[in-house]
Amino acid sequence: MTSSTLQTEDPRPSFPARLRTETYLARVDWHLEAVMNGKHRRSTIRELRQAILSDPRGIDVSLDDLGSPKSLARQYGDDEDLQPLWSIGVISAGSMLFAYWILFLTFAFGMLAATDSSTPMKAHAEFLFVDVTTFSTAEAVGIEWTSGWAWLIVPAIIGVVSFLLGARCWRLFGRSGRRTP
Amino acid sequence: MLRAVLPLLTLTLIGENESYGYQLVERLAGLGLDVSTGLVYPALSRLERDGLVSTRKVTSSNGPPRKYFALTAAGTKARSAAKEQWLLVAAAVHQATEKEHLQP
Repeated sequence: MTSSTLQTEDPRPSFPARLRTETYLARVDWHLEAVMNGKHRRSTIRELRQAILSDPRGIDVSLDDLGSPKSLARQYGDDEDLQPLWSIGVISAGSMLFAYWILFLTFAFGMLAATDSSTPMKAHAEFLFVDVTTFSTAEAVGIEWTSGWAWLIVPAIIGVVSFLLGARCWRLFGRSGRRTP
Repeated sequence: MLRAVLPLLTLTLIGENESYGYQLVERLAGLGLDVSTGLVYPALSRLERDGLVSTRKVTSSNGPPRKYFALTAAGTKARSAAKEQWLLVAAAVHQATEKEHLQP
């Protein structure tokens, strides 16, 4: 902590150190949305970046000392009412939809592999209300799924629910209207 | 506990000497207080937001420019008020703990 124990750092951080800093700051930014508006948030992130890059102890020690992005953001909040985290909501919805598509395609290709091993064959199954058909004949191999309501509604529900949960939308109802300028 | 007295400590140290964020952490460490930058930077941000400290950027040979904090007139008043409150609390705590110590 004292200056006698400090090491001289290269003024220009390495690419991995820079990447770690930017990843950390992005996570702080997402959590700061709970306590600050956009303009104040950008200025805080800019100042934090400068403080990290000018910390004589080096980036790793500096980031460890700042603590987790979530707890650091809470410190900036000064016990104010927490606002919803819309950015994290978007990330949550995107991640869940991506997971849904991966599972759906894994399921469909798994079915196709089973069908293909017993050519000629046609198989039907249901994945979260969506009818999936795979077929394998001497002439063609393929996957079909119906374009009914479930094809749109199921991903939409997954997206909306994960967005609302990820954004902590219930914070909308516990607000007193106070907000950091 | 430390978080509650941090504004008073910060205003006092900044009042003595203009400092940048990490320098304040070092000065607090010099007083025997192990305070992280994760606690000091948000405290400085709040003091700046409330107009209790002013800032200026100073170029540094070792990286990006540093932000130096200095006490404003409002900060001086706030420091006096916080010090008064702290002395009241400290006296009350001292009195209460001394009583407890004297009881058989």
